[in-house]
Amino acid sequence: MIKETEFLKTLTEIFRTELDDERLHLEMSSTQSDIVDWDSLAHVRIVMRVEGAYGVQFEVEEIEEMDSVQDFFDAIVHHLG
Amino acid sequence: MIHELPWLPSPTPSERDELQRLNGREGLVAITRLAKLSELRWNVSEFGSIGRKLRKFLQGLDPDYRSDATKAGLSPLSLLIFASNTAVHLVEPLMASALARGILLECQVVEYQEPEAWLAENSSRLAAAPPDATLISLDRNSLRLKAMIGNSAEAEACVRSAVDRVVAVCNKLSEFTGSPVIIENLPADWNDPQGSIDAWVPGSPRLLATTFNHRLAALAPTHPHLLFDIAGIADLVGQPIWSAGRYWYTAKLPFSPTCIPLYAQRFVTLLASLRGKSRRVLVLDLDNTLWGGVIGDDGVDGIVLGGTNALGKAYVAVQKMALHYKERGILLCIASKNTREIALEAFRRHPEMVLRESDITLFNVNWENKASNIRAMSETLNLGLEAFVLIDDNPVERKQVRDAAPGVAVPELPEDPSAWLPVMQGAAYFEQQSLSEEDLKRADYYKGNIQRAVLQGSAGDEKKFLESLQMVMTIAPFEPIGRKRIAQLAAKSNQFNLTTRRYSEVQIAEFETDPSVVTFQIRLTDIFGDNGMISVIICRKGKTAWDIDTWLMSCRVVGRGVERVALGVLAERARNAGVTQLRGRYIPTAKNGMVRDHYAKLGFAKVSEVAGGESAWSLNLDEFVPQDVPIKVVEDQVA
Repeated sequence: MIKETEFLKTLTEIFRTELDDERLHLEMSSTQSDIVDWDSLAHVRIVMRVEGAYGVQFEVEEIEEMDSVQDFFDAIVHHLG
Repeated sequence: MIHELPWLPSPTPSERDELQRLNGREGLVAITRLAKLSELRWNVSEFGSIGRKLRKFLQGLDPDYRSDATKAGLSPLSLLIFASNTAVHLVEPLMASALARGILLECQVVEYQEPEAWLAENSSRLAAAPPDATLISLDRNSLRLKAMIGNSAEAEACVRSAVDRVVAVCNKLSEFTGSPVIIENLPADWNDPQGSIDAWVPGSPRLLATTFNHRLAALAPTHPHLLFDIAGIADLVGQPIWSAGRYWYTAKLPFSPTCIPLYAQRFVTLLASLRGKSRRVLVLDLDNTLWGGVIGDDGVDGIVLGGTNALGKAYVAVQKMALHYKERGILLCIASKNTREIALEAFRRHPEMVLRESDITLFNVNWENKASNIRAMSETLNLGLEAFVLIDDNPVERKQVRDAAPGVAVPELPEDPSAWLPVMQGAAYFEQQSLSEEDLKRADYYKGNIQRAVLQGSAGDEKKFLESLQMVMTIAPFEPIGRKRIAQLAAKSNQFNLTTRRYSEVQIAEFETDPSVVTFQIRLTDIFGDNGMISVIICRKGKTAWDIDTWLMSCRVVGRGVERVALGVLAERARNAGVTQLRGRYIPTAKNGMVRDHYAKLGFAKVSEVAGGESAWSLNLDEFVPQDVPIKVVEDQVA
């Protein structure tokens, strides 16, 4: 079972590198509209990094609907059980 | 897997750490460190972050960084990418890959638009600030590659129309920018049915795409546009890996982001060839590289090569690969720790040797370390280390060369030699813009040169030596047949190049019919053979003075007096036109220090020099007396 705190830590590192912002602060509730540089191309890069980090492959529908960090977490949990 | 760039060394933990900690405060020094790190095996995410770092570091530099960067050996290049689909995500990985080859890439991206409409709107902007190169990436939809199944007339018409359209777009871009245009072909698409019938039935989408690709390839030898064979890359990695899949649907990416590092490396290799940075020499180890076993221990009869032996056949395949490169103008050299005579025996006597002594330009077979041998080759051939690729089975030797001869490409190779070829094909080190007569005979020229050097060594007296060469120089104006070679020289010459103006083939063609310029294409033969075209001069005519815009020469013929003879002919032409002065400029780069005193040596007076080293020179034709040089001149007054 993945803990939310661990997950947030991993995602923070991913977001910081992909959005090139060492001081980015992420919450489980952070959404695309909250974070200026989280555009559709950054989304692709972030999705790829998250897939790589957890060894999963998201479906098209999931990728489209992932709008917040919480969404990512729910999708990972759904895939890993 | 090929798309993971297995030929590149993996970053060590300390290199990963260094990349993370690198910041732009030290300006160009940081960029140089970043350039070294960018040569390692990173994934797409890491390449992207290298590109982002580079962007940040560049922002911190002086706005005038281009000239400093040039002196640091980095070559700025502005690229326009015109794409049917998303392309903006390629920029940062491309910048990282380009940095590894010493190119500072700046990209402008135009996405999702029809080329004709965009060109019509932006022609004057393009002409005012032309990019150094343009990449065109059009997909099946933009190209309207669609026909009724079974209708061969319709199929032919739509392919022809697509090809004509692409050529027209390339021509328009050349016209507005005056710089090279690179066109992608069409990779296989898993949206297309791929049964056997789909390989032949007219109108099959798969067949339409492959026919389009064949037509594009058929045009390449004669058209100035460069082909970027992404169909070949997709083929190498396989459709399931290449295809964007979900990412096409979510973000219109044209292919899987996991393949971006390979795409970038291949594209940058093409760009590098446009900048005179192509790799031109393949250095081969001997023991366990060209044959199995150690010839010093096993003897020429004991090495494993060819025959019915599986491993032996694998080594034959490696030799055949090397021979293929030689046949298109790459020089083959041997660097091996062995006794020379013993090693040569294999080349002379072993019946399964594919490579013969005559295929090899230099045999550095001795007990020196490999890096020193390659450095010595670099001196003898007058080519920088970046022109070299080394194949060696031994990871220790490979590391020694990477550390002590930086710039040489040293692919990591698997243990099993039968697995080497796909790695070499993946890396595709040797790109070139075109294939000329000179390319096909290059190995012979270099061998001839080495024979000449030997002759010079024994001749002693310089003048006697030059006379003994019986040189004949042919000077002709630019014309269509010489055009490709002239453009190749303009693109590749780095050292003996006074102003390093990289004219494209289109611009060279324009000079052919421009009455305001005097153009020289200079060929040289001697007793060892035909050196081909070895010098290019472009001179702009003025009322009282002529300005030498371009003066470049192949380093192969330095020290023979070619430039003195060329000056004599140019001076005579100028005098006959009533002109009293010849003027020249020297624009310094990281590589052309050898011609800083070119005009001084020819008797020009220095008119001015600015901080940074750029100088202007002038020759008073009334006082000029041409020097006697033992070269016979033939002036070809081709229309």
